[in-house]
Amino acid sequence: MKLGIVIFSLAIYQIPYARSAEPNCPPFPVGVHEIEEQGTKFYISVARAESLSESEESFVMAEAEARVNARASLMKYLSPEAKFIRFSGLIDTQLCRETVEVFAAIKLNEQNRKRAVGLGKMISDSINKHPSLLK
Amino acid sequence: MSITKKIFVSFFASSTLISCINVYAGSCQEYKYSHGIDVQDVEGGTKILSTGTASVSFDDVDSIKDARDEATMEAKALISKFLTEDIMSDEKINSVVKESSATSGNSRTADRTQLTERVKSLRNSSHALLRGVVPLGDCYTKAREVRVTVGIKPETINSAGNLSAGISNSVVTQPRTSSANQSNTKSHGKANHVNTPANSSTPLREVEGYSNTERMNNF
Repeated sequence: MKLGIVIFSLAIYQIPYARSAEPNCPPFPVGVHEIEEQGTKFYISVARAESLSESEESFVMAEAEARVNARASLMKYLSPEAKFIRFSGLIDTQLCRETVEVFAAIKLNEQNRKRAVGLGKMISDSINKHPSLLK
Repeated sequence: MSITKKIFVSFFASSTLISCINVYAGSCQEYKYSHGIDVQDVEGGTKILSTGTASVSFDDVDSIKDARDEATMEAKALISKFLTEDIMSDEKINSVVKESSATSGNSRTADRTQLTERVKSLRNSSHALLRGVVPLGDCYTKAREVRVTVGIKPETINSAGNLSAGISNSVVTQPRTSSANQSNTKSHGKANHVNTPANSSTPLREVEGYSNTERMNNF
């Protein structure tokens, strides 16, 4: 009987979406965090939003809101008066749910900024050299 | 424990396990990439693997195709956002005036309402010309979701550029055959129109779940 219960518990655990709470959600408290690691500085911005209902669509909307809020917080932190800012190399690192709350975390660092700028330049050079649109 | 109980427990446990194994057989559970991008340094620059997801409403071929297209666009949008992303903060005041009139008996009354609304909106947008983005893999979990992974690296950008140059040169050196194509279209242009009633229902063409990661290994 015990064996049956153990197997059943394991099976239930394996069913996707059966678990609601995620570990380290949110990874940092809500707000912008300036972190220095091995001599390089990077920013983590965490924001929250609330799902208005328990439907999946509502959670997706809340996730989008949390992502935009995280970006807005980072913009305000880096340039409080700015109404517009352009980021390169910004990465969504985590999106997690805790009951009705949704948390989004984004990361900005110099290494990714350089990577994004380099790749963007490579694409624009290729398009300028060999335009793909024929007139 | 009686023999009947033992048989019942073992049957229940084995059927539960089998059903779980079936959930995992060929689905996104086996797919190693989830929504987001993975940035790596490679020889000559940067390599990006980007995965987009889309939910599937029906277990039907057309619905899955739409979801796959959506997931592909999302994966490409993630690369574009990584390259440049604009954040804008707008604050504006909307003034709405609503006027209405109503007749009650012999008198006519007018109602005027002014609504001033302060709106704060945040927008993020991204646009970039992408070249050299190649599809790498996809997966489908029955009636639930589709994931698509695309990739870009210096080698694929160069290959796309060279291919584009090759096509341009070919078109410049070869005469155009558009007039011949047009006449072909005219002669063979009788389309088979099938009149289908708007409310007719067709059976769903179901697709089994799968996980395709073959091309990722060589990227």
